[in-house]
Amino acid sequence: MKRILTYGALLLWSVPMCSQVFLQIDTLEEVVINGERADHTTYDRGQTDVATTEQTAERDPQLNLVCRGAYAQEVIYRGLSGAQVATLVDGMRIYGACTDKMDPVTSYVDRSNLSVLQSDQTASIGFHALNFKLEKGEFGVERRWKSGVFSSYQINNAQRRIGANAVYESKDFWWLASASHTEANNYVAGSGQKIRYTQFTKQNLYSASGWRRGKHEFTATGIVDRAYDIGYAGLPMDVSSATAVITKLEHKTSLGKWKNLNSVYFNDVAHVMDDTKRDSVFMHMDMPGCSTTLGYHGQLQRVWNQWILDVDFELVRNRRFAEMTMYPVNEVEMYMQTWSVSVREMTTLNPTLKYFPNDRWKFEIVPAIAYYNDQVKEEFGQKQFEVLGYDLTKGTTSLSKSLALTSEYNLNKWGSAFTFAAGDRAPELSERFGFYLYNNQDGFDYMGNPLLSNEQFARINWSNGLKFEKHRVTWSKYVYFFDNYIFGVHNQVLWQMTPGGNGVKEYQNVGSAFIAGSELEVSLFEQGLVPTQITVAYRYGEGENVGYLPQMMPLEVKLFNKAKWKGFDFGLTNVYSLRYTRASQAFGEQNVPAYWMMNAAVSRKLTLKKSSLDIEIAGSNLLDNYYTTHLNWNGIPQMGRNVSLSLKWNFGAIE
Amino acid sequence: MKHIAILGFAVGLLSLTACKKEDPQVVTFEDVLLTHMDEIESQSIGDYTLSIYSSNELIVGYNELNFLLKDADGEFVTDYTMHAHPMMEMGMMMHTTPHGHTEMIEGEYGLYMTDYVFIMPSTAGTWSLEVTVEVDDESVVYDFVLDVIEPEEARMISFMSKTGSEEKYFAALVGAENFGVGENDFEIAIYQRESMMSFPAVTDLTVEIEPWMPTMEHGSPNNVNPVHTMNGHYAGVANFTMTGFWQLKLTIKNADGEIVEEDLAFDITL
Repeated sequence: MKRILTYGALLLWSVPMCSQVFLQIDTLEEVVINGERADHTTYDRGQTDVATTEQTAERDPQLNLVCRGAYAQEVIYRGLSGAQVATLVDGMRIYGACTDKMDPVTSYVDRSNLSVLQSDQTASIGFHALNFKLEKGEFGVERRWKSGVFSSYQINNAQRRIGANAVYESKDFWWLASASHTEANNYVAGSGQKIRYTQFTKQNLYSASGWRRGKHEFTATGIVDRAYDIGYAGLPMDVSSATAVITKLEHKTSLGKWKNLNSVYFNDVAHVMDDTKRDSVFMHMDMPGCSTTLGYHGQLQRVWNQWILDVDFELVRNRRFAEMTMYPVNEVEMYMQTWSVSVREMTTLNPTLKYFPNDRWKFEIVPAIAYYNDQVKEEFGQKQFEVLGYDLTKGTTSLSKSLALTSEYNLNKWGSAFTFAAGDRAPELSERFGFYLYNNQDGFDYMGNPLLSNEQFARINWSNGLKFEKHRVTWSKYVYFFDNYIFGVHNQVLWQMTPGGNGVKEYQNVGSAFIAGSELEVSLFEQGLVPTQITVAYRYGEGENVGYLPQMMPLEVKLFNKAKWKGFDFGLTNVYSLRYTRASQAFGEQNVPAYWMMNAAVSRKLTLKKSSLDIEIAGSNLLDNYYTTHLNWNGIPQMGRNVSLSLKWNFGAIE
Repeated sequence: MKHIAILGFAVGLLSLTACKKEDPQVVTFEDVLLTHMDEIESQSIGDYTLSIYSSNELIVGYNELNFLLKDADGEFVTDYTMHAHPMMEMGMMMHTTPHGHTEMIEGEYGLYMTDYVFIMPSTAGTWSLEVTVEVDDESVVYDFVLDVIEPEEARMISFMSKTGSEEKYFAALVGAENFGVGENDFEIAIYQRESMMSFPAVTDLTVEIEPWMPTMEHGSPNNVNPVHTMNGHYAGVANFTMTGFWQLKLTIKNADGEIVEEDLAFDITL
């Protein structure tokens, strides 16, 4: 679990013999989210200040976004989603509180909170880990204050954003805070049609502080995030509020030659759905949910001459509850628990051993083990499952394990990395204990299955790269094999609960499946006048008893150009996607036509006496094309032409 | 029948508490009984007092009446027999009502139980219960007036057979007061009217059920159709997946497989 490893990545880079390792993409890739950290920021709209966290992440060709509305898009990795990917915030496990996956954890942070996204293939839990790292201060040599205010406006959906941040850094103490407010109306699609229920309002407060005493270093972080009046165009319901409190205390020290990190964290997420804004509803419903997680993460790290060992250990307890109350006219209300009070207790142990025998080879071995204890704690929920013939009065335990082996070879201009990994993942709480969770995409109510077996996987990943002075090529090929693949299967016996629905699906281990795909990244003229980057990505997936696997992107080509001229930075992005013809019928997907989308941005930094001003004008979907992607629920169209203006006024230390 | 279990528990509880000699408060069987039931009627004739207990108000539907006899010293009488006869007097006519056998269910205290399915409320006339007690070679006749109310949701439904045989049936739902989300054991007690004075149990029917939520137009899985156990009682399992307004739909067929009734439903609000 080196995903949390700040030092890990740094150390790796600081080991001189592997300075040629440019194929880090294979095991640990970083996407810079907060533009302040790097200057190659105007590649595309994803890097502009109006972009959301998720849009920034999408710059990585391995990642895609599932859209159910304009807000809270779900970041998926190589077509894997849900419990297959562990999405973490600064190493913390956070679980959404919505039974219908309307609140992926990325929606509870603001892009101003984040520094980088680490994408880690050798994660122990799930098949991949995405870690959104929080912005932190640094212990400086001298005292300094930095602060800034930022504001932006985008025309299409009248999105207004305003915020401020401040950082204080000194020798043994730092403190950082930011606040932001973002508000958007409904957007207009390329056809000129206003897409109702795409509005949202989000407020975010973030503060972090670090202090140092001898060899001990402490960090405290806290986020309060609240979004409300959020439209979900792809669903029959909206969200009246989604609130999260995220806190963490961290201690770093050294124990002899070992580096040691201990952190405890707590987060609480509350999510309330809302059908009162819809024109016609069959029946008014209240559907609140909450999810509370308490966790400990410990880490020991040691570096020998040619070896690095990290040992990660986690103890996590997640408690979830979601209920549904329906109000028929002139009748008694109806009530059920869609997630009865259910608790997962999880223990993970995840050592990573890296070996650098010489300046050409690097080897890595990551064995991991996780133990789960899942239980429905409330009698009401146990009784609900009694109806289905399950006895949930006792907990369910499961063990998941995985092993990842990587070898990397670099010689002069070229390098190659090969990873083999195999293991399994335990079913997620919702897959075990969900009760009539309506999925609007396929129109089925989903039932948990307490008897699900672990989903097994084996993965082979092979990346090759070539690096010249100004040009760079990386080509990754991968294949995943699954067994006991977990998928919703139509249960003909059960009555659907949702009026007008298609029936009930129950999660089952359906057999084998595979995903194969490839990503090509070409960078040209890196330090030249017009640096250009091309990414090409494609995935294919098929499963026994499933047909095409869902969420497998068609061939997509992205072309990024940037240029510098007289202090101006220009960026141009073109995205070409072939038509999607392999929609998973079983998942309720639709085939989608090909599309072309063009974004552009120009920015300038003005240096004033004691401050600086960043100005950026960006346009997205400049051709005003009407398009949707294979990941947009119920084919909701993407935003049409849009122009935004962002201003950022920085005070204090000027970069 | 559930009350027997409750009583068994109560007796167990009593024997536990009775062991505690230091406890100054003596817990009597009656005290324990009263935690589960109310005394609905009591009459003293000569040396003997007969009391009737029930766990709920008497309703049109299935009821279990419990009887205790005390002597002049207030001690429980255990060696007595009793026979009870319910009667509805409606001015010009009178009739009895379906009922089970009188059984001694707690010999140590002389507790008898009989189940009655009252087929109409007291507003239609007067329900009387004539109880003849044989004790010490003496015959004592008690005459109780019972107050039977119509429950908010019907727990007894009467119907004419659809086979064209002019038979009138009475079906009562047993155990509905304990219904909740989850798996629910229940019984349907079915009787036939032979004459105004005879309502025998019907033991050879086939009963099919379907719990149904009319507002949402859905049912529930894994229900078990009731099958005959004894004395016209058919035991089954009804599942409810959520709270709200449900109906327990019944289809009743006779031994020849002919449909006796099919549009029967008990309303159940959880």
